Amino acid sequence: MTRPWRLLFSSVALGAVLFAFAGCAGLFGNNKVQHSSSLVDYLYPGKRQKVKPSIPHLDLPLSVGLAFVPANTRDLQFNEKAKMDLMDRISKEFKKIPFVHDIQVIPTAQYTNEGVSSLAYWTIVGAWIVRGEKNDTDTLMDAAVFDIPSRKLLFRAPGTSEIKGKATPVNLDKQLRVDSEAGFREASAALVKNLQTSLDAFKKKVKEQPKEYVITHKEGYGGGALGPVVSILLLVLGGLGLWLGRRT
Amino acid sequence: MKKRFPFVTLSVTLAALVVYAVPGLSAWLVYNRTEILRGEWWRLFTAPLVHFSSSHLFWDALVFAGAGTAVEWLGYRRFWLACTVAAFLPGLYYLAFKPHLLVYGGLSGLSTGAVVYLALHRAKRGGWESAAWTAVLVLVAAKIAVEAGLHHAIFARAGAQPFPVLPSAHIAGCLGACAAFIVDLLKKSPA
Repeated sequence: MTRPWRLLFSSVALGAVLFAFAGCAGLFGNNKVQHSSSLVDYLYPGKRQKVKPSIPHLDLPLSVGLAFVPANTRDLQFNEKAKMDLMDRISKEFKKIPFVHDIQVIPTAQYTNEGVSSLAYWTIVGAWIVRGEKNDTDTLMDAAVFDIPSRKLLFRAPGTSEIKGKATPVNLDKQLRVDSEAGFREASAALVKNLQTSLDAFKKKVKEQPKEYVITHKEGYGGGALGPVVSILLLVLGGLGLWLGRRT
Repeated sequence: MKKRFPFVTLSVTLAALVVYAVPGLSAWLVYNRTEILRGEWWRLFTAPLVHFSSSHLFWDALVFAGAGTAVEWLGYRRFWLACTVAAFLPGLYYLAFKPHLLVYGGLSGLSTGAVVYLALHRAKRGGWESAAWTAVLVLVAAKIAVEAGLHHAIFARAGAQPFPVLPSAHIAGCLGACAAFIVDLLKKSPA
């Protein structure tokens, strides 16, 4: 197993996985074209079985793997630079969390490994609706953060875009490509914004529902802390010392 | 001895409060070995301003504010030296000798330094006051010895979860206090 996959699927890692869906309608309304890249299809081809998620065990500080799931069709090839830009922006959001110590962005080219399918079975429940009216371009993106060992979705953040079609039969291919890129940018921006909200909500949820998440700390996570007992003793003794000093 | 406004103490305490209150600032300033090795060197000395929970911040800041204010108010001039050593030394030490330590934060090294610096000065004065400050020094030494001996067996709490305390941060605070105290003694000694 290559290093990125060890990272992504180790017990200490969260997998932050992006999967994008884009729909492009052809010139005529009834001739819709839809493309998607599915996390489940990619990770577990031909193996769908319901699994019951267990309680996630978050061992702090966390390592987060970040990957863009490849498209299952050659028609859905997003610009590599745009994908890396989006991953960088998502990385920056994760870097705002003090207990995340490392974020590994896994290039799409490395996101292929035959060992993945043997690790676990997942079922992701959700509906993704792709509308296409005439030559409109609708893009739906979704960043999902999974705790791999417990097979639990920790949180997700969507981003959507709807670009109204302007193409004519003459420039159809070119315009659809331009619209697709614009849709990607818009959906990415929406996703990053939603990710901030989702991260905040997740942190709050972890605090408010301690039974839902097991949190431990690795040896590599430490703090300088005095604690209440020692602090009070020091303050009392110090105060006593100062008081005695004033009297003499 | 001339009384002084506790400028260092208030600045550091206020900074710790701001870092805790402003979202994202903690992650930007905490000791993170991976990011330091990628070039974010400021984390080496900003880590003491970062706290992992409100109780972690409260007790660290309370002791630092109390001891630091007394130190500055009473006019011990090299408090800045104690703070500088306590802020810089742990990060450099962890980077060089503790590769497994990935994340660290907390003001307690500076708090310990402030307490020890004050205690060393006041313990010279004799009488019952000296006894009280000696007790403070013994308490600090005992805490560090127990933490070091039990290898992270004493825990502080970050919210509902405990996290391991790093006695080396407190040792750095003591070293800073001793350095400042020795410089004070040398400067006072007749040439």
